[in-house]
Amino acid sequence: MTTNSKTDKPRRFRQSMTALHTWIGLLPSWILYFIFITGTAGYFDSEINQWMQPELPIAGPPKDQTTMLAMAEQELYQQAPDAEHWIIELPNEREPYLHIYWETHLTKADKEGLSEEEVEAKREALQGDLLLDPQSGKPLNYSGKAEKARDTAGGDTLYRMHYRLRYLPDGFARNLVILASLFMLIALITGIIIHKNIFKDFFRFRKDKPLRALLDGHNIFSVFSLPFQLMITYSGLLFFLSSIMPLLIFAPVAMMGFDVENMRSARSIEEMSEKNQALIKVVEEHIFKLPVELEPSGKKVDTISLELVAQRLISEQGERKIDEVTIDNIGDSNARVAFFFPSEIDSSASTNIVYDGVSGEQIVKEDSGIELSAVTEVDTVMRNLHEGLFAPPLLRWLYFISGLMGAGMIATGSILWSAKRRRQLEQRQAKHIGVSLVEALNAATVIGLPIGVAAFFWANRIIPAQLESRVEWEVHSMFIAWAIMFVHALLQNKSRVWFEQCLIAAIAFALLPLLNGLTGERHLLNSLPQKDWIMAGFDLCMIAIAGLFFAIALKLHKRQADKATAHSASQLSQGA
Amino acid sequence: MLLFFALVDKELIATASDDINVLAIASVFNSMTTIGLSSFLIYSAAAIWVFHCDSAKLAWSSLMLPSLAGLCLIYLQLPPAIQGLLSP
Repeated sequence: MTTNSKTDKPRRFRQSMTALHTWIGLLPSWILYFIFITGTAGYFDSEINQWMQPELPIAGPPKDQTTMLAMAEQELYQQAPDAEHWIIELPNEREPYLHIYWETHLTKADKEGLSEEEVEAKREALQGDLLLDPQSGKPLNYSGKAEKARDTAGGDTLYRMHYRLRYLPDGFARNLVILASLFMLIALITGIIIHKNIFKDFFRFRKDKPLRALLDGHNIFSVFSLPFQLMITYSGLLFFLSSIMPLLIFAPVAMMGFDVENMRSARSIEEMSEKNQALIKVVEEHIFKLPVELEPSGKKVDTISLELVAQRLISEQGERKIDEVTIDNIGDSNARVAFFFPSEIDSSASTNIVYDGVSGEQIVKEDSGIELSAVTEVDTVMRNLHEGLFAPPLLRWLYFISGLMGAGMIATGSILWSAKRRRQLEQRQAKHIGVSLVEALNAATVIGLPIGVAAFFWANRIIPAQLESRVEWEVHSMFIAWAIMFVHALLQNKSRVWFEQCLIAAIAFALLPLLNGLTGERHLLNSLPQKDWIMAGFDLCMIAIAGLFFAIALKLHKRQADKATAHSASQLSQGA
Repeated sequence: MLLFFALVDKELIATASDDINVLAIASVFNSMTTIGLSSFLIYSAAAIWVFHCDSAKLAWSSLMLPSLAGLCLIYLQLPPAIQGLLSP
């Protein structure tokens, strides 16, 4: 009896966890799949941006950093000599152009008596940006005699969709993503608990038994990428900490005597009370280590040349890769030049060194005696791990593959749920609308969403480059294609849906490189010989995805044919 | 989280003046991050326990009712500034 009760307890525990894993995994699975697909695409957002702007020319090899800064500065003096702030982004492996921005902040007096739209229009008039050739420092010569690259939603939109979704109010979408992520965390933990043979399952795939194959596929996707899935879910939740627990932010603020109501109601920092603004400055400077932004003094003084400051930086720090340079209060005695460096896994993106913009002396911050705890370091590492901005190309591909495995894990899990129920229903010769709906949702999401993404890329090349609302229509195309796939999944015979959608996906992705060739100059025949790896990589990736969908379609077709043969054979034998 | 605010060093509240106490802010920031990071683990453990309980009675008596009672007690100990934030 004692032995039985001892073995019963863990078995009962595993059983209850299995039920929890099943339901908590199924309910948010379609949203999670959307989050994983769009988030995974986001790891290559810059590359997608460039493919979606085929007018961009191939960038030549960059000059040294000091020369590029001098060239950018020269162009900024031509484009925006009166702007208060300049930003220069130096090229890197993923973004090969020199990017300059300029802006002038609006003061309270500037905004007085203006409506929100008027303020926005005024703000837009005071800012601008331009891409420069990293060789010549001159504005890019766009291919096809275009004056500028087309507006596009780009990879940034795909990336943003993974935490903002689309067409939903911001707060509602955020809460939906939080809820799905909380469910995912529990699904992962319960998945580990119910998994008796993690090591054994790592090597097991029973392809001849469809249900077993699905389970083995689910296990393989999960076990292979388990550390990634745990990290990405947990760290993703950390980004929403202040939304999940607003008290975490506002309670200490209130305790220290600051005005929480003012902080909550203000739309921007400028609208907050002076005391709240002072608090935010302290947090930015001492906790997030951002450079202090000074108000212009009004005293006109020439700003030191960037070349000189850059040379001083190199003499003090050695040759160091610069990510971005900001110049505040240009032409004012309070001018500041801040150098930002690429983010690393254990440091925030704001690692910076600041120089006085007039004397060129480094501004060394006073030691405030603040030491952030190990837990805060863990928090920084987790957030950096989630974003993967530090990742070199190989690691970025690993992120991409792990993200796809996460999507595969979610997809196989929900298909397994419906396949099990379908078999039970068939045994009882019964029908169930819920199971049919889940089946349609599964097909329309697992294959329909990638078709939607392909439609997004197609729309980028088909919608006229001059159309004003083309950015919105690129995104609409994605969701229209996805909706059509859902209707198709609802109406079409269940045995044909997966095959047909896989075939559509294969064709849609396979033709994208051809479409690129017809609508741009950086197609595979040019990009491969010219070692234009960003464009070639995108096109080759589309061919690989098409191949994957084609292979699945073939497999499904073969299974259907086998089933039909077995069915007619059994009918023949019955007739005999 | 509320327990932390109930037990927190009252000196922090004494900094409610026009001067901004940078060290106090850093200390609060560190504590907040610890609470934030551990909250998801506590949530997971609680969710697993609730679903593991075979009966709703056990779930309520073992975790949910004691938690609610604890919350009420802690609420009464909170500084008025935080109580104000929690009031509807």
